[in-house]
Amino acid sequence: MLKCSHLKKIYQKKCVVDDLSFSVKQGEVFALLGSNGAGKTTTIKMLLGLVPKDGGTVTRAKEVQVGYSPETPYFHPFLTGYEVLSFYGGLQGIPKEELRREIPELIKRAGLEDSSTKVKYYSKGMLQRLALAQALLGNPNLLILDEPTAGLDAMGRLEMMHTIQALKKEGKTILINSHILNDIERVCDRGIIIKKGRLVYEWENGESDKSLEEIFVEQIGGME
Amino acid sequence: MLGIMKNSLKERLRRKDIYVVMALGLLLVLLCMSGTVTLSIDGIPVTDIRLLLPFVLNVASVIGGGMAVAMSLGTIPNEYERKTSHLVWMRGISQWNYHGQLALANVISSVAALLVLYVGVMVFAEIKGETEVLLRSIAGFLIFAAGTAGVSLFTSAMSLLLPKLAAGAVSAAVMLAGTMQPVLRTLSGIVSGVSRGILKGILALTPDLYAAEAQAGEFLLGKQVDVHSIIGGFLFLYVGAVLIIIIRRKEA
Repeated sequence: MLKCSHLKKIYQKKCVVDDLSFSVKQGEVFALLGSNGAGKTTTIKMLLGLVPKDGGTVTRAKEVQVGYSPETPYFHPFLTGYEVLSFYGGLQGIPKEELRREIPELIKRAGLEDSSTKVKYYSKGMLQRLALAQALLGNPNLLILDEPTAGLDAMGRLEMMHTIQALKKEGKTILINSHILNDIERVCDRGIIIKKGRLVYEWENGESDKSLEEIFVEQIGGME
Repeated sequence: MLGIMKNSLKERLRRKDIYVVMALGLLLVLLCMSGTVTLSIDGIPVTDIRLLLPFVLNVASVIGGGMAVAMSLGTIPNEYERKTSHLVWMRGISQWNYHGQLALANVISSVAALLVLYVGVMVFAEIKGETEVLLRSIAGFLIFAAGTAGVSLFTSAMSLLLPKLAAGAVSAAVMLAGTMQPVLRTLSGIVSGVSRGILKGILALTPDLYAAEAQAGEFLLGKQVDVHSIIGGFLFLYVGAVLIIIIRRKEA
């Protein structure tokens, strides 16, 4: 469904993504793992065309429609949650009548209790929920979620994980970038660990006796 | 189809800063017309509307140009600073479409602000009994607004290319040099040496917005207009539009 080959990104003479290759199969939940500054978000931005690649290719099947929830969700602060969804839905070319039906469903699904307040008054958790709702606009078959549980409390995290599991059951392909290894282990099928922009480990859920946390520490080498 | 432009206009209306800018501009124009500020030629105060109108239109044009720079400077950089651009780019909206719609919102709000000043001038003309001026006011505004729309587009383009402060300085300099060309021409005739060369260079490099805007005054007063000057104003508008289309960003 999505294939990245030999991706490379250089920022100020420093290689932040180096010869990174991986592929995401249809219907699976795939994790991008790594410590801060490993190049995960840059990789996602290259996949989405938000930053130019300095090497490598991204191949996406023609029928793939992508939904994206950014790491730190930024929306126009003067809009309400409903208006944000209406705005981005409009940009996607979704007809108004369809949006009127779809938006309340997405609001409910993302657990966004208040969609009539201006976004500038939203908490980080509310912004995350709104980000997920806008990523689901138009029913995309590939979801790219960058730190989807950042800023959520314990209950919010659980709800988000349930939502991701439900989306997986619906057959959606999901690429997640997250620091929370327990969450990853709960919902992901496969993943890769990146260190300084390079792939250091290919992980498959249930393949090893070791927990993902143990594997991660081994590969990243952050703890004695 | 024009969702980005509508959204940008919605932001201005909700932030309400456009009203403050318009009110200040209108206040300045009213001051010029009220007699608080007087125009004298050879020490003789000018009170005849037919002599006063070109002067007031020039003042409105300079104020309108300043408002256009102020209102067009931050729109595009703000989208990138707050990263709202990410969710636009990833939806396959091309840069020329994205920037074009934001620049169009800038033009609409700049021209709307100019219209407030222009209406003030028209009311003044009506009070002075120049009903004929009112009859020509709509077509006159189209001529008058071309320069301001051009300044807005040029500022939007510069904001894509340069840091905010530099873009503001360049745009304001071009606007001032363009709307005050007669002053610069007179100065270039007085000074000599390097200063003269610099002034001649500025005159050659900047659009003659004064000439275009002055034609609106001529038209309103029923005089012969110079079509070439009007075309010059629209040419600047065209240059601004081309710049918006060709200037690209590398990253969202």
